[in-house]
Amino acid sequence: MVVSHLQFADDTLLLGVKSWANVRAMWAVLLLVEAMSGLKVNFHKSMLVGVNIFESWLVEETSILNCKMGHVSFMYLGLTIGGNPSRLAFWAPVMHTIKSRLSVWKSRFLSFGGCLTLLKFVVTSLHVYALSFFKAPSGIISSIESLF
Amino acid sequence: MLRLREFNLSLLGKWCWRLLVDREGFWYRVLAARYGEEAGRLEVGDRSCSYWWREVARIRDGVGGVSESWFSERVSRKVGDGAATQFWRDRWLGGVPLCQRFGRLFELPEDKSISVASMFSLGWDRGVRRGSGGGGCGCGRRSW
Repeated sequence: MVVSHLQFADDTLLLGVKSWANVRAMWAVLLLVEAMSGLKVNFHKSMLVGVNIFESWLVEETSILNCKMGHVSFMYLGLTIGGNPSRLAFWAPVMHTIKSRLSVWKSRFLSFGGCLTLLKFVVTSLHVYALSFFKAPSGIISSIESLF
Repeated sequence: MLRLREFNLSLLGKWCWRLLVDREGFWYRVLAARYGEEAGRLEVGDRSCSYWWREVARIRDGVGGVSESWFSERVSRKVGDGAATQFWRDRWLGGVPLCQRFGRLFELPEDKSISVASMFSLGWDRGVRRGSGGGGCGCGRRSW
C-alpha cells in the first residue's frame, strides 16, 4: 500500500522517497497547481521534514524549495506527529492552552455561574482532541485534574 | 468533573470500534499494510510500532488499563460467512470466547487463529446435519 499524500481542510502532507529528482518534481507540480487553480502555495509556511535523513541534505533542498526545515516532531491538524506521548513534554502544549484560558478568566469579572459554565463547556473540551488520539500518562491526567 | 483517565481510554476505545466496523476505511488498510492481518485481526507488531497503535491494541486485547478487558467483554460478533471471525478467540457464541470456555480443548489445535468459516469447512456441517451432540467434537478432532 502506498500513501502519497494526506489532505484535510487547508493542510496537505506530501510523502515521498528521498531524492533530488523527487523534490524537483514536487516543486514543479506545486507550481503547476498554482498556475492551473489560481491558488497560491505558500512556500514560506511550508516545511520539509526528513525521516532519518542527513540535515545537510535537507538544508540544501529547503534553500531550493524556499521553504522551512521541519523536524520529525511537528504539528499536523493540531496534533504533534512523531513525538512520544508517554513523555511529559509532549503534553506541554495541551497544558499550556488550558492554563492560559484559566489565567485569563481569573482576571475578569465573571459571576460564579459564568465561571462554571465556561469551565464546563470550554476547559473540559480543550483536551478532548488530544485525548481522543493519545493515551495520556497518569502524571498528565492528575495535573489536568488538579487544575480544575 | 470528568474522570479523565476513563474518558481517555474510552475515546481510544472508539478507535478499536472503528477498526472492527470500518474494514474498508483508510486507517484499517494502512494498519493492515504496516502490521499485517491474520484471520481478520490486526497484528500488534513489535516494540518499534507506533505508540498510538500499541495503546489501541492494548485496549482491544484487554492488557492493562482500568479494568483489564472492558472493551472486548462488551463487544460480540455476529457471524456472517465466518471468514473474519476467529473460532477460538472471538466472542461469537455464548458470550465467552471458546478458548476460555474450553481451555483444555484450546491447547490442542495447531492453528489457534482458525476462522469459523474454515472450521465449518473442515466438516462440522456434517455434524450439524446429523444433529447429534457429538457433532461439535467431531469437527474439532479433524482440525488438529
